[in-house]
Amino acid sequence: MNSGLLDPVIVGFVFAPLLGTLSLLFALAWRQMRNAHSGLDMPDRLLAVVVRTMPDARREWGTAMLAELGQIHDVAARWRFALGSARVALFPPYGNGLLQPATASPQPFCGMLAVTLPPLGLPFIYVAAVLIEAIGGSPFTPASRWSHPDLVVAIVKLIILLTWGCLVAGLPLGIAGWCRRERWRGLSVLGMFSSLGIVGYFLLVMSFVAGGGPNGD
Amino acid sequence: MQRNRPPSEQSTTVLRVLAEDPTVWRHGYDLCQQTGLKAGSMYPILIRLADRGLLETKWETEIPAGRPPRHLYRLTEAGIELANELGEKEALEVKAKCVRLRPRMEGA
Repeated sequence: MNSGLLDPVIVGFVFAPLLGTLSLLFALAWRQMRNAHSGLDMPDRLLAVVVRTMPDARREWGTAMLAELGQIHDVAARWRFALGSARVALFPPYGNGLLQPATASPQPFCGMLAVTLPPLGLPFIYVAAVLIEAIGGSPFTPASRWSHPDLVVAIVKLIILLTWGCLVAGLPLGIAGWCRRERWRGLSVLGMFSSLGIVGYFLLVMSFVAGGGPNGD
Repeated sequence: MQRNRPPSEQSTTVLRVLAEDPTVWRHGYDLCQQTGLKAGSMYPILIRLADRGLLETKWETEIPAGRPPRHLYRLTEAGIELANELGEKEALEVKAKCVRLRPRMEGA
């Protein structure tokens, strides 16, 4: 492969939004855990944060698990109990009509997608480009090894379309999450800004590249 | 629609432990220790048992200062009946196994 796709600058450009979003999410989660539960240790904080996501019909069980965690003193046992309980809190068993309608207590599905999809757009097209290049070379050049370059070009166009879909998806998904009054509505807002920011970042870098760099040559 | 599947092995264990003294209220972590089940397995079982009306729950009323109230569990009448049924069934199975093994042991 000699197209320069593995150039660190290109890799950095592609993965910067993803790393930025992950760092931001981590920082926000960390800050929230520290502010909301200062004085508690990590297993307590972890479980307390996860319990807040439980549907109202199951919240009592989350409180019960938190109270039990308070009775465990061994550090390893606390972690084991907190992790097991966190799993239950994230995926509580449903049944007997306790599954709530989506409008009553919506989980942040749209918000999660709004935050996740935009930063995955560029890595997605990058990985696709690397694979296409590695398998049969660029379909746009005469040196291509593809037997049906037209078909590959069509696939590339579809990938470009999907990439743009990912990049701008944060906006409609974020609006949907906000309108559904999902839990953690900040995710919806973050998703909207993330989409706008990443599209802006992409267009800025592309215009910079098209202009030939800082000297315009 | 509620499905009436037979309880899993783990649920049976929990029912058996709770049925040892059905009048006593138990704590979740104590049940974990008695049954050897982890919290990730124990709480879904307790939740399902409570949903099916087999488990009674309440919060502690006399709380020592400095700690939150704990959730307490014990079997309902229906839960005790089910635990007894499962106990009898288990006893019959053990008896049947012994009967099957006896001729082999006598022949040995």
